Amino acid sequence: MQMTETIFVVFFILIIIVLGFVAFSKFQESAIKEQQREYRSSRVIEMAHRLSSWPELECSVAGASQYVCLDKIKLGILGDFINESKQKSSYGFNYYFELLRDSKITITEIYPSHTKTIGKDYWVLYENLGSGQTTEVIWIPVNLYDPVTQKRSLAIMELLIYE
Amino acid sequence: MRTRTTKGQVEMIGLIMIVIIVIVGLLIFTVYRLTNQGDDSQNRYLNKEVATNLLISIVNTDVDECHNLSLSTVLTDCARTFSVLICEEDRLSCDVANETIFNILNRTLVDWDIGFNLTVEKTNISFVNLRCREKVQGFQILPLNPGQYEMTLDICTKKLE
Repeated sequence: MQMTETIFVVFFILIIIVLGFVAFSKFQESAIKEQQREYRSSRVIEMAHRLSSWPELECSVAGASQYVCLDKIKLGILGDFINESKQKSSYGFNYYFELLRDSKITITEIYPSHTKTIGKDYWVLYENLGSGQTTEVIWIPVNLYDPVTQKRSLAIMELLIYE
Repeated sequence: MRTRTTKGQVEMIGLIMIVIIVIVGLLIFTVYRLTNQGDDSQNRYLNKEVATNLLISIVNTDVDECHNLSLSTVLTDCARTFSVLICEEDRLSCDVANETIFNILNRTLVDWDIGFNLTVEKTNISFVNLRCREKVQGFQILPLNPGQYEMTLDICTKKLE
């Protein structure tokens, strides 16, 4: 009879140890996931900051650059350059891939024009879809400056990040 | 003798079950707390950025209906006690500013299904579409000769259920 009791006690102690291991591994798993999330979050924030004041696109009046403002003419040129580099697999695309990885960046003018016509009030700046699903969509409000008409319009830079 | 031992074993099993349930409960609670913490601060930070950037972009946008003046100029005229600016089709600066901000908000925050509350001090301009538990605020201070006025934008980070 005492033997049976001992077996029971040992059995339950084993169960508790196994549960402890499960709990520990769960903690580890959630810690790893948290680290991944933190890494993704910092990447998202970093990209959002970088894009809103991209030196290649910044608009300047009398040599002074302006906050959250992109030059409309530079937009079209940079978009075409990245697209051509991607097709030719040249250094240009590799450079932007290092910065932007698997993501898609579009700019849509919101006011005054809002027709979503490519080249007029809609630009696809960078597109590398990768193999994963979209994990983050970030909107960055910016001004678009047209150096020809010297007018400022309002646009949204949409950043889609793929995992 | 046999009945007493069996009863003792049953009690032991019950006790262990209770301990297990408590451990599992604590585990679920801790994992849940850890999972939600990071997302929340990221969401708050990004929404605050959106609010601030949107206000900066709004005030720097040129208004077609008011001689291509920036919205900050139109708003400043609207905030004055005696408005002097007459926009196209003899419209008042307040009407044009109100309509422009309405169009911009409709094409951004309303379109993205984000709750908000935008107010411009010293004017009647106010747009409220706010049903939320938590919000973040962005603001922009604009000059008014003499003094200044504030434009604030609250953005929902957590909606009401």
